[in-house]
Amino acid sequence: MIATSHCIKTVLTVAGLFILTTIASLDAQAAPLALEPSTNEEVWIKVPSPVAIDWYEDSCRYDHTEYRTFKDYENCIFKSLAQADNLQSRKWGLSDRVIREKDTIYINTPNHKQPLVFKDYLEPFEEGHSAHYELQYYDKAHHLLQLLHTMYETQATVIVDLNTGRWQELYATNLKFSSDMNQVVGFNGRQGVTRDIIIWERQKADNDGRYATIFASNELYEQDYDNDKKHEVYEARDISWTSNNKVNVDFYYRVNPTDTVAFRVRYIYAADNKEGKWQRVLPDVNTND
Amino acid sequence: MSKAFTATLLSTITSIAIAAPLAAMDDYDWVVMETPVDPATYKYDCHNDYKYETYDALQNCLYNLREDADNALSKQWSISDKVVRERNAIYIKVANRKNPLVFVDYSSPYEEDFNPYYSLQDYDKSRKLLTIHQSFYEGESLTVVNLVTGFWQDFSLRKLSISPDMRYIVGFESEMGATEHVNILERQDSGYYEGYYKQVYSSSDDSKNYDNHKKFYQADKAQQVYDSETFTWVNDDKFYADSFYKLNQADSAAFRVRYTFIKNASTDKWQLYEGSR
Repeated sequence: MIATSHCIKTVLTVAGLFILTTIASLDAQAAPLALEPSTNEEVWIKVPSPVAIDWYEDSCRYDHTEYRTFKDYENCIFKSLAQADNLQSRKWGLSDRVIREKDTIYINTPNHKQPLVFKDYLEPFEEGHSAHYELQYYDKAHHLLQLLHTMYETQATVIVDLNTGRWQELYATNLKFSSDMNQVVGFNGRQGVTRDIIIWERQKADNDGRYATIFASNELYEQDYDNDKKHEVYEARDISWTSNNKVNVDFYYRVNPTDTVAFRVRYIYAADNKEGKWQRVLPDVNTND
Repeated sequence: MSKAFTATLLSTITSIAIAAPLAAMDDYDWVVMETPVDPATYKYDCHNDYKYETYDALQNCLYNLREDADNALSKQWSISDKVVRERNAIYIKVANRKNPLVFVDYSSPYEEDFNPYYSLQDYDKSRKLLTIHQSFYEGESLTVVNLVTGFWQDFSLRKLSISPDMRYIVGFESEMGATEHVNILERQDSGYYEGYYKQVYSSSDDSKNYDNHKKFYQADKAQQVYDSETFTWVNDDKFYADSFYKLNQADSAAFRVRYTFIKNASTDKWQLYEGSR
């Protein structure tokens, strides 16, 4: 999934706070468009030329010591997070229920007198403890809100059912739910292994309907050392369900750092029909790419 | 306390004494400590209850306990219109926000060791300063909230005290292995407090005085009463830090080891002195 320009801006705004693999931003218009594969095996997409990370005119500075006081820095950060989140909330038609004020996202749900709250941490002398939330995605049909939780060296996604107030944090990014909502897959949120995937399954009603891990891949990190896969187009990576027991995990790479095309590397994971055990499988005639 | 009882205690001390100038009977100040509450009656523990088989049921049990405890304190301090706990969060109405200031417990079924949570600890009515305790895996910290302005800050301290003019916050560090270290934090232009005095690092004199004084009382041969330390401000430039030690775990009396911290008027630096000054 391609980030919108507003998200990119938010990432830049807060990049100074969080030591993360923050990526060079791409222009929002430049969603990769699939080209005809040059061979049966290869799929290439158009990608924009990479742009240098630069500060937007009104974005906050990277280093809080560039501010007169820490408070000024904090004000700048929380102001831009509030603008981004409240704009997003309005776009989704949720502005009466999902609000950011300063360091906190407030979510009003029918079951509770007080709102559900998710709070950022930004301490002047403990930069390693910084963490923040941002509105990520809203699935209107399932009234399911996703918040991206960025911590020191880790990212997670909080899913909130706006009807019930029930919420859960999953240690992954780029979440994709299966069409029956019984399973969810995402990239492992621990820094350094973000190419690996985790799959959760919804527990039966007697176990609160929470999602519990049923599979975690432990192999894709090796791409980091693969010479022809040095230039990943992070924004283009994607996971998609091709059936209720099969997912495609796609990464895109430029051959040269400034290329405007990128080739796709696809991994396929499937659950065995009999035992339901997940594993990586090779593409075959049944795999509809 | 009877003289005879004191003498018995001191004979225990002197029998184990060997070297150097040590405290005589009259040097000891004795204090009767409160009887510790039996942990079995002190706190109902959700983890031991067979009824809570699912994660959410256990969380509900914990949240109910915390709600009861925090809301009772808030009521006792007459601030229940401003400070409320509901489930995993403490909500505080403050002037500088439309929505309440919140402190949120973190919990995850997959990281049982790392489930930090908050509880109300103390309220200074005259200055409207609320102290909130945060527990986490192998540690704790304190948060001070000014209910008038909405100012708040976390401190890696397990006890703290604020000077009469509010320029300084002193406390014992909460990091493991450093819990006897007094830290002094000073308010900066930003309004935040920043630590600059650490007993062990401040000067070799302070460090030596600290050790000498403990040796003088043979404190190492007694048992420090857990979490019993107190700070007492004499004025804006002077405070006492007291620790208490028992000879035997079962004793009701403990002796006090006092240090006086005085800010040097010309250098503005704090210095440690043995005993009362």
